[in-house]
Amino acid sequence: MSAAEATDTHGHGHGEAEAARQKFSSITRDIAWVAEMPKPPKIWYGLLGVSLLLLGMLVVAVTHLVTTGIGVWGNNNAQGWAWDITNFVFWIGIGHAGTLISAVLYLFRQNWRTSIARSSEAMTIFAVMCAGIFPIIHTGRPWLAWWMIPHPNDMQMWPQFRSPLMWDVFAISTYATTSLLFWYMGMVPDLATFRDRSKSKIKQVIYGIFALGWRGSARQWHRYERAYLILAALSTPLVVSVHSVVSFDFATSQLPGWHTTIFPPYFVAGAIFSGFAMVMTLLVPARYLFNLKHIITDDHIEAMCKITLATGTMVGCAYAIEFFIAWYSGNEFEQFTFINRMLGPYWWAYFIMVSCNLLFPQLFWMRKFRTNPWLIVGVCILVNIGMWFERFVIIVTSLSRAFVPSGWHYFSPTKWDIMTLVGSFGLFFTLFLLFFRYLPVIAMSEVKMVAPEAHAGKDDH
Amino acid sequence: MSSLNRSPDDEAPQVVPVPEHGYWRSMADLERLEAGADVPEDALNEFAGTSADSEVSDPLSRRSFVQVMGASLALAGVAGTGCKRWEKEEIVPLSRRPEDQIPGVPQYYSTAWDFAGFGQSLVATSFEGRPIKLDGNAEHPFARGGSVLGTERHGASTVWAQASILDLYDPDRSRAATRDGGGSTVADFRAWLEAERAQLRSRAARVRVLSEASSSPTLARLRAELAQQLPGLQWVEYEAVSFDNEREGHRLAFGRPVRMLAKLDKARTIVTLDADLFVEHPAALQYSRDWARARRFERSSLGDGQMNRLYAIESTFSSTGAVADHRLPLRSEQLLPFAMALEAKLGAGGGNVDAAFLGEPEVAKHLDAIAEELLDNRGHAVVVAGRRQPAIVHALVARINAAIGAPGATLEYLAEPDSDVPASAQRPTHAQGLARLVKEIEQKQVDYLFIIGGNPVYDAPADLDFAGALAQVKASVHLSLYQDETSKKTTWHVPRAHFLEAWGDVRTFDGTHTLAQPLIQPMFGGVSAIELLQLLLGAEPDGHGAVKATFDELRPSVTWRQAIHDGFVATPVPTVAGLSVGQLPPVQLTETQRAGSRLAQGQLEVVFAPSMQLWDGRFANNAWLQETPDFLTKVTWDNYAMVGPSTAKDLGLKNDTLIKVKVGDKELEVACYTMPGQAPYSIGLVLGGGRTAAGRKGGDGKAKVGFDTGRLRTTAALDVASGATVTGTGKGHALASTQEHWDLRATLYKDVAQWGIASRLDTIVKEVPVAEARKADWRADGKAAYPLTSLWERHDYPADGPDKVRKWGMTIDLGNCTGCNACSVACQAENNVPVVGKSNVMMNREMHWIRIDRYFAGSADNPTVVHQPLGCVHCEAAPCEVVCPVGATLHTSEGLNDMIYNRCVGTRYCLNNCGYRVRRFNFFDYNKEFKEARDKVRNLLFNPEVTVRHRGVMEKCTYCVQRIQNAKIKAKNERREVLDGEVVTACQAACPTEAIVFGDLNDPKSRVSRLQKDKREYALLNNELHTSPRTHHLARVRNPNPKLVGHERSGSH
Repeated sequence: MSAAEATDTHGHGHGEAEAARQKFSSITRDIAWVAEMPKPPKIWYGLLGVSLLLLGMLVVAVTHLVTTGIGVWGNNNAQGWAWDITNFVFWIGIGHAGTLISAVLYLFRQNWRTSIARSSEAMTIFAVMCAGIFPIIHTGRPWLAWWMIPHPNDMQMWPQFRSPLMWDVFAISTYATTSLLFWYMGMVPDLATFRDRSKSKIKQVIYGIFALGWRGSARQWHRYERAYLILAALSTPLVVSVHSVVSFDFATSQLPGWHTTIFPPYFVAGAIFSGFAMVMTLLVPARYLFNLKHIITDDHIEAMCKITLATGTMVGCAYAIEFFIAWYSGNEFEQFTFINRMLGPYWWAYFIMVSCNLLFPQLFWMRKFRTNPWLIVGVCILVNIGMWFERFVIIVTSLSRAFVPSGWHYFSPTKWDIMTLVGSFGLFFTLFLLFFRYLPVIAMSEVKMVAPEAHAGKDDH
Repeated sequence: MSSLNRSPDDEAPQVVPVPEHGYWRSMADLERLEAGADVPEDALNEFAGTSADSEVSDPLSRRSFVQVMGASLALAGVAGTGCKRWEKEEIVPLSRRPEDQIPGVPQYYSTAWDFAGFGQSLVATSFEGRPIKLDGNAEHPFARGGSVLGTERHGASTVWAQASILDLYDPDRSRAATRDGGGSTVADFRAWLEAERAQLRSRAARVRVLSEASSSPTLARLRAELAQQLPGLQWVEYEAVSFDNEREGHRLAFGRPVRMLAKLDKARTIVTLDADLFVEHPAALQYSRDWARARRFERSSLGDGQMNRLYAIESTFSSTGAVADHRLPLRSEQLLPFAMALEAKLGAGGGNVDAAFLGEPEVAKHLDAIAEELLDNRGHAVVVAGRRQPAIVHALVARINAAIGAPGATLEYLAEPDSDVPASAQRPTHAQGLARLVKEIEQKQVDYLFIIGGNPVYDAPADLDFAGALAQVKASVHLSLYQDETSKKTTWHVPRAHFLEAWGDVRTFDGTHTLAQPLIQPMFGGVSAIELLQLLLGAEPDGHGAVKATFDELRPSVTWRQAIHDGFVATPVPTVAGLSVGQLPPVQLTETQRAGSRLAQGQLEVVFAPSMQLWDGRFANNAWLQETPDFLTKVTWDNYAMVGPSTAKDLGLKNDTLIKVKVGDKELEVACYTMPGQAPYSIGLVLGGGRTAAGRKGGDGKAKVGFDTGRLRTTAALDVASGATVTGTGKGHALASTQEHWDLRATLYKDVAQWGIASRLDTIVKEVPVAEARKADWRADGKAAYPLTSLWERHDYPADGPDKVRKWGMTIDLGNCTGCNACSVACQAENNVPVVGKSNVMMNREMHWIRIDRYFAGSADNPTVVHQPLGCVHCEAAPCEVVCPVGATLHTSEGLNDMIYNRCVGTRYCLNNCGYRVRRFNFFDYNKEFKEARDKVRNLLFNPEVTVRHRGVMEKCTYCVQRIQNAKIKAKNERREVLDGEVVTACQAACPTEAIVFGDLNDPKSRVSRLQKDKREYALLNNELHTSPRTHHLARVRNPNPKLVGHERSGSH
């Protein structure tokens, strides 16, 4: 795909160096403007206020949880996990798009990614932060959750490496670290730009610290490009591994509905699906809000819609295959679990899941739906709801009907469950809104690199 | 205050020496602080008082000085700070260890308990002077237990006996006397009694004693003395759940009251008419064991391999009906015509019985089959009628039993205490006695009323205005463990000593003189019934002296010391032979008795059933019992009306709603539970709820627990009432059931759950008819769908060689489980299992380490039931272990699946991965309430050998690892192997039917390893999950009558 349209420029030609410089500086100006405008739009304040309120709710909910006990949630002796792990998997899934966009698409030279890479990476980091809360607070004694990390101690106690939860600890911490590094490293040239453009002393110092002394020398650019490539290569397997490992939490257990070999690819597809949906949910309004339509163009959005459609359909296939395997296995426990999933007391959750994840994304076959921003946002929000319900269906309905009928139970969330979930959105949006205001939301250097002006005088590349 | 305070003489029994260290003292001081300053010390502080007697009086005693210092320091520490850290306690060590006391080593003392007028012999486990556990006395000649070598100290016990120890430490127990509701002391009460003594003597004919039923010989002796001292005094006995109908029936049949004791081990055919033999009956323990032994499918030390056959004809499901080979649901009132028809069929008398329901094919077939079998089994059969049935049915049953040659062979008649006195001196029935008392009060013939135990204001029949009558008495006194409904209406309330706090004696159902020694000083200054009578007599209260005097009077062949050690005096059972049934009065059947099984509104029958947990409501404040799921409904923290499914449909009554039950002019709104197998048009009302002054757990007027179903009982219809109208109200009332957490939610397709259960039930509970089980190639354990091989080498537990280990395992016999819940409560007591409360039960957070799953099969109107006790099965390839990220649950070298509470961070993954759902998570700090000053006393109950779990950790059955370790230590000290049967788990010890067997699977001769080779053995879910559980179940074998087999509906749900 050509990025020429992306910059939406007019009349330029080879050798017009002045025009190119103007073009580059307009990119810088337009993107930096988001952070430099003297006052952000009123709606930004409004959204930040709401987000902070929700964040406060999260703090209250978690404090109450930690001081009182897991019993404040609806979890019980049948459903050891419920909304807590549902939220965890949901947020981890959201975090997938970032790495995919920054690393995989980078390696595949999908240049359209540049306009959205930074913000989706940021989204990844923030989603992983939200996700990371849950494995810690869902433990009965969160103050001892660090025991899950291998550490030297005088009792020579090690964590249990056979447990998928241990694998999770490594997978998620690796993912979080790599994503953070990738995001931050990619931001260094842009931070330097911000530093240079800053008028206030405080900003200069702060951006200066984080810009790590970037001067834009050819050597620096060379090192930067190499490092970026290496990190992209490192991150690429993580796209597959993180959610595969998360799916092992379920796949390696023996519970019907969890014990399924299809889970790793199914979870990865689902994660990318939900990640892209979340990116669009955030960026489609944001490009209006901060006047970035010429940088994050309709074509970019449309490409993302296509990926959403593809991954959504994959997820739908997985739903069908699960039923086939349940029938094909001849195992009555497995068969019952899936029949119960569809027709049992949680049928409503199942139908929310199927309609949001499989049916609504099919609208993206039609171009009309891929170009209408409001429809896109609508479908993407539905996809996010559907993907949350997918995890809910997998976790809660399977646990509700385990082997022995006397242990069956119908889960009902408490207000604290709801507060924790909604509060986690507060954390996410707070971070995201702050990011939008204070950090380079689009990789200026990269956009410039793929801008046609960057290729002036070149015949090919 | 108490007889224990007296210096013991040489012959004194092995009373637990009063601990002298500071812990007790500070506890008692705490109680005092809590109770307020106006209560004098001696009313509350027994412990300080005891040591004071001997030592504080000597100011120069070094020890007393240190004690006083310690006490004041402790007090200063307690009172001075609001610090939430560990409390500062000064411990004053004993300078000389009391004889037989080794800190940390429990001691066992025999004692006894009077429950509803029938004694139970018990053994108490005591740690450093605090009793923490009760078990049956295995050496007692009645209901003996523990035939397994090395288990002598453990006998079977009832669920109530297991739970009664919680009452001892109940913080809500009455701690001081009250006068007209205001604070007072026992000393004041004694002063008042002295002041009134002249009045009492001069107006003795206007004095009444209303007592709960008691079997105590000492109480009977003192009562006779009192009658002499106060001529004209009348003694009334009342129990809300009374066995008087049987007594009256035998009076009707034989002219004198006798008890019937069936010998179920000798009977091949047992027919029960509305009788609950295995939980409700006073001889339940004996019955359970005898029935179970005569039912073992295999020949073994536990049974002779000849299966008996049990028929139950009853209205509401009883524990007996649940295990019966054939159960016929009939309304309770229909059992009279049924018994008449049965008698006629047997040719024992009576003519054609005119009742429509007898013509119904199901009933007719059962009647024919039962009559035929009884005649075939002459001398090997017995018929038992239940306590609800009117006297005439018991008389008829006596005649039937005579006709089938039962007396002397399969049953014995035992003498009642008043068997040989003239009819005029025999006591009236409980209801009659109470009715007469109320009438006398209303006629102003009573000035003084002493109420010993009981709670008549709550449980007296509703047509007697007992509370109103009580107000008319000049002075009334209530001796009670709690300040209950009655205590609030009497002039005086006197705190009663718990049976573990006082000397006493009882007679078990067969009349064996059984002694009760105290295990602890009265913690709240209570007075025992014996001591109250001594006070009435003007004597110093001396329970020990009184009980010993009774003992001496009997001139037994054993010494007092020996008798106290054994807990009983073995005496021959006073059987009454040569009884013949006289002429019975003619029977007039009512319209509804003659009707078919369908009735109209206004004709319905209401049957009152004692709660299998709360009995008549006396255990309402016992949180263990409140949270014990009913054996069939699995409902906790409530009582309810049981309505048959078809009746519920006809009348439009829904589960979990309130329904209005109207009997005569009284009506009540009560929760509805649609109970499969409840006789059509018979409503079973469970007693024991709706208390208003039980305590904080059982209803204190603010929080309501259950429904006061007793308000519908009248003297005329105490147990069965007819002419009831039942209508729905549409109001919801959620019942907290531990098993049906799931069936209340709307599904898209309503039979999904039923289909799911049906498709897996055959793999979960195994049940076969005896003919099938006797086939040579039959085995309960089915084949796995795929070969059970493992990808890796499994851990080995070698039986020989240098690495030889013990391999602990358990079997649970489904064929013998009556669902009595004794195992579950025994486990709760042994393992400090917390109580979570109704709302948490509704959220599926109950903590029981062993639960009894109940499965119905067959039609909803007459299902069969299987109970399946299930605790952690200790899988060798445990799915819980591999998923724990911190390794908090691991295997021991002996194959126990252990929980390391300290290491657990609470991810709950183990719970999710457990196929048996036996893991229990501490969602809250369930023991938090015991940190409150007032409730601290409850901490004394904790078994010090078992960790009290904190919030956020997982727990589950440990196979009573503390008992295993103790046995191993003992064996090692004695340089020998642990013997088979030496380790007895708490559930196993309590089980009245010996359904639970525990031992070493590596010992080929051990009982458990032999049982695990039995053809009935199967490992739950092993074929599906290949977990290799150490607990195996034994399939249930039914012994249906081939002539009735066509009626056994197949299919299950």
